[in-house]
Order: sequence, then structure tokens, then C-alpha cells
Amino acid sequence: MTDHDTTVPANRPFEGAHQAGILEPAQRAAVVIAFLVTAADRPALRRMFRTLTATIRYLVAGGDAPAGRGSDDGLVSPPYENGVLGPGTVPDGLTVTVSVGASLFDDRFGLADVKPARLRAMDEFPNDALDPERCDGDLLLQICADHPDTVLHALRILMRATRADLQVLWQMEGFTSPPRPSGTPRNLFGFKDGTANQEILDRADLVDQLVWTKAGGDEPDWVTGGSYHVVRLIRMFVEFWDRISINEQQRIFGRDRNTGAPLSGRRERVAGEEEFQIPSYHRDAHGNTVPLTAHIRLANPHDGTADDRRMLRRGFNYSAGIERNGQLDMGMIFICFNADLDRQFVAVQTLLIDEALVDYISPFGGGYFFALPGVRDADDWLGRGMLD
Amino acid sequence: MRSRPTPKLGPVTSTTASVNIPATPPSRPQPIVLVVGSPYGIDDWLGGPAGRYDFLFVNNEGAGAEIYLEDPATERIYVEVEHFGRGVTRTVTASVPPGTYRWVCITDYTIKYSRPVVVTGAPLPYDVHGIIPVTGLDLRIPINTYVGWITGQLPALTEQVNRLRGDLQAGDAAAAKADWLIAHLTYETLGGAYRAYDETGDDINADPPRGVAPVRLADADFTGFRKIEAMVWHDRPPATIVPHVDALLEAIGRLADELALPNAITPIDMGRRAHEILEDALQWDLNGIGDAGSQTELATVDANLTGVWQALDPLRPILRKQNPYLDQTDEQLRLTQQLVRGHHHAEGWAGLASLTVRQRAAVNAAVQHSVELLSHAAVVVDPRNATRDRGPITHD
Repeated sequence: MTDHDTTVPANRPFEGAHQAGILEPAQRAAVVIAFLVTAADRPALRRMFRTLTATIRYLVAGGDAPAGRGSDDGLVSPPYENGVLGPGTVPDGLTVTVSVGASLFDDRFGLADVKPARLRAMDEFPNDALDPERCDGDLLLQICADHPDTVLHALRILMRATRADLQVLWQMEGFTSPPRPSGTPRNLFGFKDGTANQEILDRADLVDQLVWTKAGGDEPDWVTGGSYHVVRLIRMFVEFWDRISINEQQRIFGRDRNTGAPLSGRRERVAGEEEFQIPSYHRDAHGNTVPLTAHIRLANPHDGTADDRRMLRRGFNYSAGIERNGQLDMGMIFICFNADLDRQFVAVQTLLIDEALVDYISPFGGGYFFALPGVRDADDWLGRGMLD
Repeated sequence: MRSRPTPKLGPVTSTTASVNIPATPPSRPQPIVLVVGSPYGIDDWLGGPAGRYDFLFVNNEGAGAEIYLEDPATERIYVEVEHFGRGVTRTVTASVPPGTYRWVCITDYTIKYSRPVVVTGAPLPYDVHGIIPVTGLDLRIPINTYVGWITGQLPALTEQVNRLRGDLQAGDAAAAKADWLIAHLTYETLGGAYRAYDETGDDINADPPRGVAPVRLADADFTGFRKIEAMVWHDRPPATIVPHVDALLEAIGRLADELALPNAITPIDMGRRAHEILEDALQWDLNGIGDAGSQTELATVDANLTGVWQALDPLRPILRKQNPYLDQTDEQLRLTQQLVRGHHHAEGWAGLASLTVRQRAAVNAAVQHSVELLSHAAVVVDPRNATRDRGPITHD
């Protein structure tokens, strides 16, 4: 084994009913980056989405860069490629997921009538400390790959291709930890995070019901195949956390830190897969074992009332330097995908108000976005449904 | 080491330099190997279908060389290997449209032309722009024009700074602010980006030292327009500012002397100047760096845009023929300057910090798109060797 993991291409199909970067297991490296659209008018917005589509297609599929100014146009341009990935392109598990924010549907582009029904500026929940400079945005790119250089390569190519039309509002780089020692990756509190995803991903009917938005009711026609894309930047006070007892840590989440097993579960237990054991609270009505304010118990009491609220989580850890008080600025880029923003994420987050975890975390940014439906064929482009 | 399949090579007539074929993605054909050093320069590839090629050049010439693929009818080149030292290999990817070409191999003492290179087939579905190499000599007239323009501004600049001096001597702070801005903006049109004027430029217009709180800038140890700005805007006694104005006048005098030297602006500088002026404005002024109290960042950017036009204009005879994006560049610069000037109101220039997030994003986007477009001019005008003796300089 020498260069195995950098030379084996792993590219995901670009065309389909849905965008990539939603159902696939989270790659090792990611950036989420929100933009203001500075395109002058609707035709310029349309051109921007077409350019974005062609450029993403090139980045994930390889081949020749999209034709145009600066790309293979003779000796009149600096290189199109930045060389970060060497000559040629390396798919490296790259996915680029394009989502739109509520402010894109203001009066600038005549899109007000086709706004996804639930899309709005992100709600501020009681324990949030939102920094307006790191909230919302007209458009979001979620760029993920197996290595950080591939993510940053794609980011630079995409920003350069859309220079006149997109300006960065905020961004955060994240990473997924490898399984330690197995199973669901851990967050920076040391707990397995996103364990419940598997029960959704194992069943196509649940994916359809919980992830993909459908036209009809108050939703416009074009949204079918898209998904409400929630991003929350959550600082985690890891140094404070390290100073509290293991019992308190486990009671805050409701899980065993080592195995990820619920502190109280149904009988079916599989050795080595304790994290997937279904929690059970019916002999623990007063929270003596799993406190009523424990994270997993509030989010899903497993009494049959919460099945419709489940969401597909796809978050990343982040480490972004030091706060002014000398403490590490670490945390989580919480990301989830929802067929219905209010029925799922907002309902669960409302239940989590004043959960025991709030003393150890501080949500400070992010936004509600809508992941566009996929690109169907060679003539299709991201955003066509809402613009044509 | 994983084993790799043996690459299929084009014909190689000489292999004294070792040829190491780099791995390419499986979808791409293997590169065409071209050994430089035969009596015709290159014999290995004399044509094929139009399209995109990966070439691998091997320099067996025994000397440093420049290699061009030239259309002799138009003198335009479509492939180049610059700064190609002896004994090394270089890879170049390029699209070659249909046509009849020749390889041109230039060393310090020789110039060789290959036999005809015939590329056949239908026109490519995208535009490929060859360029006629621009030489250092070609840039002599533009440089003289540009230096002449700068030198011509210096008397007005000196007069404006003298007016500022008079305001300070008269103790008129309001007039000093107005006249400081007039003089500073004149200087900001002169293209002093990225230390183009070295120490003299620093003496005239160095940025304030970093890490000094704004209220203490007036007492910080630096010189030039920004020092004077800090003192005027922080209400230092006018008489204490006058010696700094005298030093500024002396530095402007030195700039005039330096610009009179024959290589004050080199051919390489000339090709890049327009691009660098605006990169400098983007990197510093639009980050709020440089301001020492006047909050005239956008006025500076406007003056810099005027400086871009002045650096671009002498190159127009070259660029009109060579840069397919010139019209787009002009249009974008015009829109950008219009947008920036939209922040100049009756009561003066809006400070950068007073802009809304969306207003600032619009300015950033316009300037960033402008520098992308200006980068083409710099690439086209980058000085190269001529492929033949051109005779006297003309710009017909």
C-alpha cells in the first residue's frame, strides 16, 4: 500500500432526481459556505446557476473543464486549474450540494411566488446566541470530499467561475472523524453522533417520507426531489465538558460514551452494535435512569409519537481556533435534511429547548436552506425548476 | 510501489535526457513526446487531428530554449514552453485548432523552424486564441507613453500638496482635509501598487503601521500621505504637520527623478501594472487597510480604477488585436467605477464601514470580476521572444 487512497477515483453520479451529498455517508472533509448573490438580474442569475452546474459536473466527473473565458482558450489566460490536485482532476468522493436561502426569493429576481413554503430566515431558539454575520444567505454550497485539498480545490474553482455573481457571507470548514473504534463517528464531546440515521437509510420508504420534499399543498411544483437543508454552527465548550464527570456526560446525552448504547434499551442487543439498540423509557417514567431532559430522550421518546419528526443528519465537527478567553473554539456544523422543515427539525429543536446539553453548547450561526432537486440530464441545470 | 502499465510513447529519436512519463487519468490519452534538439528543432509531431493535446517536451538542445507552435501566416502562437532549461522535461496541455503551423525553437544564439505541422479537421467547438508574442521592444512605446503621463501629473500633485501646506500654515483644518484628499487621490491614480515605486513610494504613501490603535496613529512612526491624514483627522496642531508635508514634497521630487531613469518601468512591469493596481486596491483598501482616519477608501478605489485605465490605454494597440476579452474588461471596469462612484454623495464619500453587507458585497464582486478580466491583459502582454526579426517597431 503506498498511494492507494489518493489514486483510486471514487466519483458519485452527478445526474439524478436528487443532488449528491445528502444520502451518502459523510466524507472526511467539508466546507459549508453561504453566499450573497450579487448577480445583476434574472438572466445573470440563470447564467450563474448554469455555470455552477457545468463546473460541478466537471469537478465530480473529470474530463475537460467547461468551455468559456479562461478555460482552454489559447494563450490569453492564466491557467483554469489551480494545480492543487496536480494535473487532471481526482474525484476523491467529491460532492457539491447547492441550496438556496429565503432571501433569494425577495423582490430582486422575481422568485417570490416560487419560494419553498417553509423556507425562511433561521429561527432563533431560546438558548441561541446568533451572530447575524454568520447567519442565513442567498445560496449555500456544501462541498464534501475524502480529503480537504479536494474540498478547497473545488471551492476555489467554483468561486472563480462565479466571481461576479456570488460573494461569501460566511463559511466553516469541518471534518468527520473516522469510526473510533467502529460504527458511527464521534463528535468532539466523545459521543457517537447521528446513530439514528441508519434506521432511515436502511428503508427507501423512510428516505422518501423523511428526506425528499414533494410538490403539492402549499409547496410549489419545482421542489419535488429537493430537501430542506438546515445548517447550525454550534460551538461546544469542550474544555468545560472535559471538567464534568462521566456520569453527568452520559446522562446529558442519554447514552454510554464508550459504546453509544442508550442508557436504557429494549432487549435486542447485538454485541459490537450496542449503539443501534432501540432506547426504551417505559419503565423509567421519572427519568431516574435516562433523565427527562437527556438529549436522545427529548428528541425521540420512542413512544410512537416521533416517527414523523425523524431527520437525516449529516453534520461535521469543526475546530476554528481560539476564543478571546483562551478556550478552544471547537464544535459542530450541525446539518440535517428534512422533507418538511417544521414537521421535523423545528419540532425536534423546540422539544430540545432547555435540554441538559444547553450549558455546554452555543449555537451561533447557520441558516435554513433548500437543497435544489437534482440535475436530470445533460441539458438540465441546478435551479432550472424555479427559474424556467 | 504499484506497477504502472508501460506507457505508449510517440516516436523518440533521442533519449539522452531521461523521459519520465507522469501518470495521467485513465480517460486521457498518453502525452505526445517531443524531443527538442534536432536540426529542425522538433521532428516528433508534425500534425494530427485538431483537438486537445498533452505534450511532453524533452530539452536535448544543450541550452535553455523557448518553444512555440506558430502559425507562420498570422505569426500567432498556440503552444509555448518558456524558460525551458537544458536537460529537463516539461508538460503542456493545449488545444490546437485546424491549421498549418511550425515549431519554433529559440535559444540565445539560434532559431530553428520545424517542417510544416498540419492539423486537420473541423474547427473546434470553442475559441482558441493564439497570440503574437509581445517583445520587450514592442513595449517601449507604451512604457514611454505611460511614464510620460505619470511624469505629467507630478507638477499638479506638487501644487496640490503645496496647497495642503498652505492650509496647514493658515491653521485651516477643514481646507486641509479637502486638499489632502485631492492630492492623495491624484497620487492614487499613478499606479504605485505593490511597491512599484520602492522606498520612494513608501515615503509618499506607506500604509499606517499595523497593530496601532486608530487613535494613536497620529503619533506612530511613519511618513507620507497616511501620516499626514492621521494627524489632520486626529486634530494635531497644524503647524506640527507641516514638516511631514515638506518631507512628502521632497519624496515626490525624488519620484520624478527616478521616473526619468531609463528602466523606471520595465516591460514586465508594464504588462502587469493595470492588473496589479486593482489587486492592490482589493487586497488592502477593500479590506479597510490603509485608512488613517479619512474613511475615503472608496475614493481611493475610484482613483485606482482611473489608474487602471491609464495603465491600460498605452497597451491598447497591442490589446485590441490580442485580447479577446478587452471589450468585456472595459465594460466591467466602467460598471465598477460607476458603482464605486455611487457611494460619493454631496456630503462626501461614504466610508467603507458605513456600507451595508449587500452594498459591500456588490463592490467586492465588481472589483473581483474586474481583476479576473484584467488578468488576461497581463498574460497577453507578458514579454516573450519574437519568432523572427520584426524590423522597426510599428503599431499599425
